[in-house]
Amino acid sequence: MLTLRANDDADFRQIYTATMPVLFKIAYRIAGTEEAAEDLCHDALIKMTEKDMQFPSINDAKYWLIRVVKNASLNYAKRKGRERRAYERALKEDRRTIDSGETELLKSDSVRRVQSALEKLPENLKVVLQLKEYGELNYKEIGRVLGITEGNVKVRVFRAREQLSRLIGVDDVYMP
Amino acid sequence: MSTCPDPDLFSAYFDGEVPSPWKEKLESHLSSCPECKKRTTQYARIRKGLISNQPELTTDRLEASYSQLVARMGNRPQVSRNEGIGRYAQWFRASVNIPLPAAAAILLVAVMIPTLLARNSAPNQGSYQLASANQQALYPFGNDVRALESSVPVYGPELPALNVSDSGVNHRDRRAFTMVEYARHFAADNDLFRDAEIVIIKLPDLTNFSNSGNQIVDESDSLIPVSNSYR
Repeated sequence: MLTLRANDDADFRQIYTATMPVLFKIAYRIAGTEEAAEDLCHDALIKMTEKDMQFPSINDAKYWLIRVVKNASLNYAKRKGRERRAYERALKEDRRTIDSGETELLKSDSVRRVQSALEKLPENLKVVLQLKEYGELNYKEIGRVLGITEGNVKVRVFRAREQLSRLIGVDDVYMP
Repeated sequence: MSTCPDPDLFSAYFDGEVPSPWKEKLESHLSSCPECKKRTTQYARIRKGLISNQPELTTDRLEASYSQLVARMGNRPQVSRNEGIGRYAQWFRASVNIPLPAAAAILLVAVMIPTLLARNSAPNQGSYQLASANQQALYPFGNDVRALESSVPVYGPELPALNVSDSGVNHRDRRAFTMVEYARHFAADNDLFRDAEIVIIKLPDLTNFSNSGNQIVDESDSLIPVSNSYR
């Protein structure tokens, strides 16, 4: 049976090429910066070789790596969030404004509103939606990554979207 | 309104997770129901909002990142089959990388400690030799003490060494020479040990005697010192 060895150079290269783009997307969305996302993905790939992982298929490698990257990114974001909040409290500094044209501002404002609304979701809903939209995984795959059933994924995605709709709708009312 | 399907079906439909017969039913419902249409539009808006500003990993960037990763992993191409051992080997290699002054200090200590120990033990050896010399002096039972003359007075171990000739003793028939006989022969007072069966000797502190110490002369009539004790 064909297996992929993390410590085999050709296999490692194959896993990297197949998974790095999606890992990067997920890590970027959770961690917030490209540098951090790249580092977090590298950490996960190194961990894979250190543990001498073997996978029956490229998808198994992908699920494992996504899980590692997701957890590491969440930890990173939590730490950064704490640091930023402490920093903002200390200096009473406003969040930086976006300097661009007015239409660009409006467009990015609605984007920003959706993305900041996502941050307000409870974690179990947020992660499912992040894996869905950034990881481009189907419900079954998300279930495998998170260790939950496909039906549970379906429910969580739906609830996440409903809560987001409500948050954005509320924002629309109070922010003309 | 009550004819609308469950709203979570539209979420699943939006993700392409609803299989064929129901999928078409949902689509036909969507074309006729503005409420449900609005819901799916909202889902699309959320998705668009979430995935915009997505940094793309171009092929160049992917390659550059791979080079960085390989550089970070160090000896990636020669990575061992068993990474665990490799890691310990690296740790070992790193840990024996001692700065020169520290190495010199360690060498110095390694040389000095045995020297100091040797110096400390030298007086002990000296005292041991002294002790055996004392024993030689106090118990001069070498090959010289073959036989005995009753005229020679012996009182105790403090006496100086004596060379005694073996004239007058037929030691061919003699099987053993006991301490009682020794005392009878050597005592200044000839009558003192005449009826004695045992002799109690006060031992010097520096010497250990074995339990069988009463027989001090063996077949060859010589007294053999066995590591601080006499047989």
